[in-house]
Amino acid sequence: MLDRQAAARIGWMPESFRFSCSTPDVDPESNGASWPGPVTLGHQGIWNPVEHDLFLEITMRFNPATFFGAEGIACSNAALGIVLEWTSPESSQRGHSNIVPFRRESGKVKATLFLRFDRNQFRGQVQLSASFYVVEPDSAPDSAERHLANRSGLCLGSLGGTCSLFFDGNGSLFPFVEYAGLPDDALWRIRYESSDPCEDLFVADMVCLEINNRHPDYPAYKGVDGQKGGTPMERQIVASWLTMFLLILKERNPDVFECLKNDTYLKFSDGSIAHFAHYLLSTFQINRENLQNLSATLNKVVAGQFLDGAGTL
Amino acid sequence: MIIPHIVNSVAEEAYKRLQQTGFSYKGANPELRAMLYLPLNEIVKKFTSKEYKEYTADIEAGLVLYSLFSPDKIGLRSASDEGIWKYLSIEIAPDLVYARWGDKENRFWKEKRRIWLKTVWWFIHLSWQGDEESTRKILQDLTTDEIVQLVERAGSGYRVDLNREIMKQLPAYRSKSTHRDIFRVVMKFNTARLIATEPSFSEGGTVGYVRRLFNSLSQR
Repeated sequence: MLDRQAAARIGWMPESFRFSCSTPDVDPESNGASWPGPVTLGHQGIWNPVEHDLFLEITMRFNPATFFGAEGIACSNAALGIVLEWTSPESSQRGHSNIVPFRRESGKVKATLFLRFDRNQFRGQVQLSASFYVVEPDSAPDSAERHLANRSGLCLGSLGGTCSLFFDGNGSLFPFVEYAGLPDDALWRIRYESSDPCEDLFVADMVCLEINNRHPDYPAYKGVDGQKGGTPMERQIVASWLTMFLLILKERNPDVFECLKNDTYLKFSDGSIAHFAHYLLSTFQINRENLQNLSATLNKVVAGQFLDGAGTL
Repeated sequence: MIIPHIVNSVAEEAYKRLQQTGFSYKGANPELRAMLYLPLNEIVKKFTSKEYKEYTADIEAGLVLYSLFSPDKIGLRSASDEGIWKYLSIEIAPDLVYARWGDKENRFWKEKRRIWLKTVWWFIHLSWQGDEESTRKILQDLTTDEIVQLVERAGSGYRVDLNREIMKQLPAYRSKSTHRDIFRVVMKFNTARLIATEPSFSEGGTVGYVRRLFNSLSQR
């Protein structure tokens, strides 16, 4: 199987990343598309996923010579292919692009992959990843290559990183939602709609941080546009929100929270609320002994993430 | 066609009111109600008079919904929005959902994979063979268990073409299989194989992949 080292050895890089739409004069221009990385579509307010389709064309270059042979991941005379795969749990759909085949003797490969997303078919996010498959097996593999995958349709692995296309929302991986409340309403609040955290997705429809943009302190929260690392108030709000989020999860689904807390087996869907909570607790080693420790470590984590300029958890 | 969407907190409150008032329709969106009521009520009447089995009622309801809210009309963007199915269940057709399921909030709003109207719509979508007659034909003689096995295996998103091919080939294998639960076993095999295989790139494409899937079971 393709591992990180094998992927690195082929020296792959996306050469171009181009979005277009069949409606004249409508440009789904993204906020500086790159791979990997989140891409927000229609941020200029013209393209929208209900009325407009979306075409994506990505060209990649790589040298797959190291893939073939006993020390590689495929038999010497097999044909492999690269494909762009997409998944969208929110849209209940998944699919893939055209496959671009290549062999050992192909030398350096230039692969142009196309995807079409019809109008009014997608919501939320679509995740892209680039994967390699066996297209045609080696009919007479060398005896030293018998351990290698050699059946058409077998997946050999994915290139590092995924790319998220945001059909809705502002591209934040964190579910922030601004609303126009009354000036004397709270500056922020948590909305938690999930009844099944192991299935419900971690998206704004289910759980979000709502910011009242008519509150007198809103400018202090927002700061100067593009301020690196967020404002101190923003960091405090996000840390408090995460504490609240975990407490609500614990209150409404104590069995789920116990599994997460003790790191025992829990079946949850990719991208679900439980998946996010698991990621948060395990990746950042959040102290779960008591509320004080939980809150303190979350504050520290959020400060670190924002100061690193990541801006996302 | 735009169908309103409701979130869980609204659905929960509305459901409590329905429980207090006997699950009757309260007058929301009369046009939508008129569109749904007549055809769905015919099915529910037959179901409550035991003319239909539960599964037949589900299939017929699914076909009605799929005709009224076809992907061309509402788009998969809306069909995948559980909020619209909660709205239809609670505000537009509470009496009809109640007639099928009784006071079970999971079937109205609470469990996204169990919302009845959504489940039967997606079962038809994933089984669709190009027209209603062909689809009904491949679905006859199945059971409610097939609905669960198909719809509840969404993973990171459905592979629509693959599911339709499995449903197409199922009747032939089911009729000669000694496995009572052939579909459940095939779907489990399929889930395991998809971790390492893309059906459309395998020998014979999706059709060949599905044939091998069923054959591997019959050889056991």
